Amino acid sequence: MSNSPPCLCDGPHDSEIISRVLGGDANAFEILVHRYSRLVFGIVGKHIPRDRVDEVAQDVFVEGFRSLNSFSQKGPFGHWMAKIAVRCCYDFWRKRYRKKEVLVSDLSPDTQDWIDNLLAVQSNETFEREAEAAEAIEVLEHALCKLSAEDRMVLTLVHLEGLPVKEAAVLLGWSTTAVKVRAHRSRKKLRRIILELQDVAPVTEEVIYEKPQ
Amino acid sequence: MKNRNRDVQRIEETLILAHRGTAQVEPGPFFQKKVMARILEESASLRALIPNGLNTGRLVWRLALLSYLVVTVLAAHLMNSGMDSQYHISMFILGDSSSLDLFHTFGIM
Repeated sequence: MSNSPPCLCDGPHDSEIISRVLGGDANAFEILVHRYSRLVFGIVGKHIPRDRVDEVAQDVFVEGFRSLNSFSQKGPFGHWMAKIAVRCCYDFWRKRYRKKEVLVSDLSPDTQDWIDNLLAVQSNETFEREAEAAEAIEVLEHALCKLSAEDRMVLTLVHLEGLPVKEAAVLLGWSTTAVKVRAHRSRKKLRRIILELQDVAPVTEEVIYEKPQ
Repeated sequence: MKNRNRDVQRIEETLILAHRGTAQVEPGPFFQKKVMARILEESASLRALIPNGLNTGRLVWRLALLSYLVVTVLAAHLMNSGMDSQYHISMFILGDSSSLDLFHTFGIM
């Protein structure tokens, strides 16, 4: 218990609350829900469609409660919850892909104009404005829906969010090599999807290896 | 080819920016209550599995399984042997059937 890092929030320490919950006081878990709901929403919101975030975030806390006795308290409780959140998101997509609930929607005609505009843009300011456009999210969702659950998770964590491979591996509970290989393949697939959108020939291998800044 | 690669990279970078720029989803006003309702339900179902609120359920089942196995092995052993069952049990438990005669002498069994 004493090995756990100090909690930077008001009120009782996380380890104290965990002991109370494990001792049978389930209501004490509410303090942890209050403390970590923003963190969980932050993670889940980056992986799951907005209308399903609430539901998946609930699953994360229920899963956390169920497996609380397996929390070793060697690291912060927030890290442990983050791992559960990422794995719940992965499970969400795995189930949806298995049930064939992921549908690749047709892109609206505006997206082609958006791509043309984007490629014509010269200044950084306009470039950033294009990134804020609804079409950008539409294209991104279209591309992600074409990937498997594994590719989708790794691509989102490593390329879109920019997490180091090691950290992504810890969150997913996979080996670093598996994440590295999957990250490379998923990025290659993303580029292929972008090329399909542009209707041009495949890119060369050396460009695929480039890491986004 | 170089231009195409540059275009793909540009679109990719824009998609990364778009992803990072999405507004964070905030928990709704009833989120905490909804979670706690599910957790209390979960806690109640867990408690129902544990008799008297103590973690003895597993122990009881283990003891029951052990007793069942001992009785089955003993029964199988007795069925396969032609010996008198009373003598055989005393052999099995005490390791010496002659003790039974001794018990009989003193009127214990």
